[in-house]
Amino acid sequence: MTARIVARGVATLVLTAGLGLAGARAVDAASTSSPAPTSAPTTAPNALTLATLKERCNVAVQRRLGTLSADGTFVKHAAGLTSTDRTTLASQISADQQGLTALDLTIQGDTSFQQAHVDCQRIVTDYRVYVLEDPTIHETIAGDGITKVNSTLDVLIPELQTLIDNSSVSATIKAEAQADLNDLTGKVNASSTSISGVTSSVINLSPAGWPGDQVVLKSAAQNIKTARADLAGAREDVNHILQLLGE
Amino acid sequence: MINGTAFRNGMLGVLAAVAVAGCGATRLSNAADSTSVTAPSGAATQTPGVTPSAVPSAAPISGQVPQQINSIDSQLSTIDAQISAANAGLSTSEGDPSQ
Repeated sequence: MTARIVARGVATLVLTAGLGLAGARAVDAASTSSPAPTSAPTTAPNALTLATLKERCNVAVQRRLGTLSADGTFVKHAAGLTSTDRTTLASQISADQQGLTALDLTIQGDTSFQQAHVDCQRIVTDYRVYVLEDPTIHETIAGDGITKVNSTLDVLIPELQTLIDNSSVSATIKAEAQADLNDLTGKVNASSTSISGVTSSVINLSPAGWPGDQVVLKSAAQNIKTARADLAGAREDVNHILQLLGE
Repeated sequence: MINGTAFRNGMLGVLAAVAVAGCGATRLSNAADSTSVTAPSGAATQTPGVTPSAVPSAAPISGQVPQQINSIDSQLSTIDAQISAANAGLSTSEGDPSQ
């Protein structure tokens, strides 16, 4: 296993453990790039028979179905997801699950190695579960979550202002708390700017748009990271304000 | 000749002013003792996944503030897990199912 595959496994274990689920998902044998559409071999390579090919393709489908099932659980329980995005992601997952299941049946029914090989490649080209659908789901959940935190902080800020205004601490301490609150406000605004349009940019990406989709996903990931960093600073400001006020 | 009542009232006012000044000095001292020396962060870039430090409460915060803070912390944990999962996906390949 490569380090990347281990990282995916660890991340999944953390997530599934957090939701009380057991098990981890595996990925196909690593390759440096997705298989390019080429003419399928008409005869089986040395040790690869039609039956073996079908079995491998079935395993590949089952692994992806497992990933999609886990993602479906995340989508179902993610408190920060908007109802619209939850419905969209759930529909995409369901469609992929049905499509992959149907494709697996097709592969198992293929009578030639060539046809089975062509159909097997569609597991990648028509779905791109690992590199597209799965990251899209996680980025959408993260993006909506950041938006929700921004909204909660927007409600919290005037309450903190009231605490500062009504506090009996000295003018100097109040000024320091006010500076923190101003910084907090700035960070929330910055976070909102960074996350604006991020989820909408990724949620409807499709396998047909690959490899261009990858650029969009990476850009979204960077914006999410930037927004999250601002929220970390905002959270520290909240702590400091409350400490200054003796709350 | 100084009016006795006015003089008495003036002295009472002086005593009251001294008492108020003394209370203010005491409050300032207490506030300074409880002030955290941690400077507020001004940089836009922070380390994600920072665990919020415990907030010492000298008096319970009224209203929805604690509930909102708990909601924020819970959501930030979820966000961090999703970011990690997304990054893992961006670092992997789809593989070759026939292999």
